[in-house]
Amino acid sequence: MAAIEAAIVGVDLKQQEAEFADLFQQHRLRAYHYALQMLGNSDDALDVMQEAFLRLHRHWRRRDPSRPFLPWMYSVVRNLAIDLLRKRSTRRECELEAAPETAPAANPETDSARRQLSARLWSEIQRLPAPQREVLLLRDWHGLSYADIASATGLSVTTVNSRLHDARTRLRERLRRYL
Amino acid sequence: MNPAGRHEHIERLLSAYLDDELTQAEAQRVEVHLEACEPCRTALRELREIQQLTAGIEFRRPPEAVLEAIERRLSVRAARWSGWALVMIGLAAWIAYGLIFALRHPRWPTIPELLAGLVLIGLALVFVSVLRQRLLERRHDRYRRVSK
Repeated sequence: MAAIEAAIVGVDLKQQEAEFADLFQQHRLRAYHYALQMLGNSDDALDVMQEAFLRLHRHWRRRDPSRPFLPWMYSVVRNLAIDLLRKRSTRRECELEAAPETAPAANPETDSARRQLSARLWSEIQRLPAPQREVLLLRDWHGLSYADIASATGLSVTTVNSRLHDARTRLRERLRRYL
Repeated sequence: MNPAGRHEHIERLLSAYLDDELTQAEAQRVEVHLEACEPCRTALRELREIQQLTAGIEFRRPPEAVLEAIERRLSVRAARWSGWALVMIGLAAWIAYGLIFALRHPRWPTIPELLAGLVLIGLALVFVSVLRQRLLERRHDRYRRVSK
């Protein structure tokens, strides 16, 4: 009987490990890019991504299954990145790793114009206040819902909504002549 | 609400409307207003364009080899962490059992008990040295140097 129970526990653990490995494969780039967008540096982003998944793995078996994985992952990455920013005291704004590269379009002229607009947009996004930039990227780049952003950042949905509105309004004012 | 006030109110809802995050009633109010308000239609179009452009920004991804190396390191570190947790639990249980046993049956220890005691002391020394090394590494953290 004990052998059967041990075998069941063993199979369950294996399944959980496989499930976690799948999640790592699926979301490692999301975590990396979120850290990159917060820190502006690729090496730091890789360190944070690695540490975040290590922490997620540590709590994986005791996690609350009703809580979706993504907001949890984003909140762990966010906390680690904030810790690092506090230690470093500044965000490195202009590292090349964060330079946007748009996908090639069929028409080279359109492609070039879009590339320029995209680069200008990224430069304006970097000029946004950090709380607005974070919410904007979580919504528009990572595709999180307001509820998931609120869960990942510890903000209320109303604050998420208001920061997003302010960020977009500011971007629109600065980019209006290019749109 | 006067027309200017209504316009401002609706303008503040456009961002959430774009994200489909309004209630049905709010969304309907926005749609009715949009039919009659050219500036709001322009604002919505521009906001949508900014949203699409933001979603399309591409960041360089790290080389696959780096990601694979991290995955390997993760599994090794996760296994090491589980191993340490088991050693700590086992050690604590072993010490507690030994203390209770010694208090209930006070006598000179046998040779196997002495050997077990030596192993315990050895493990405790290893643990203390690892802890000390971690604390020293923390003090000389590279990010602290950057912030100075």
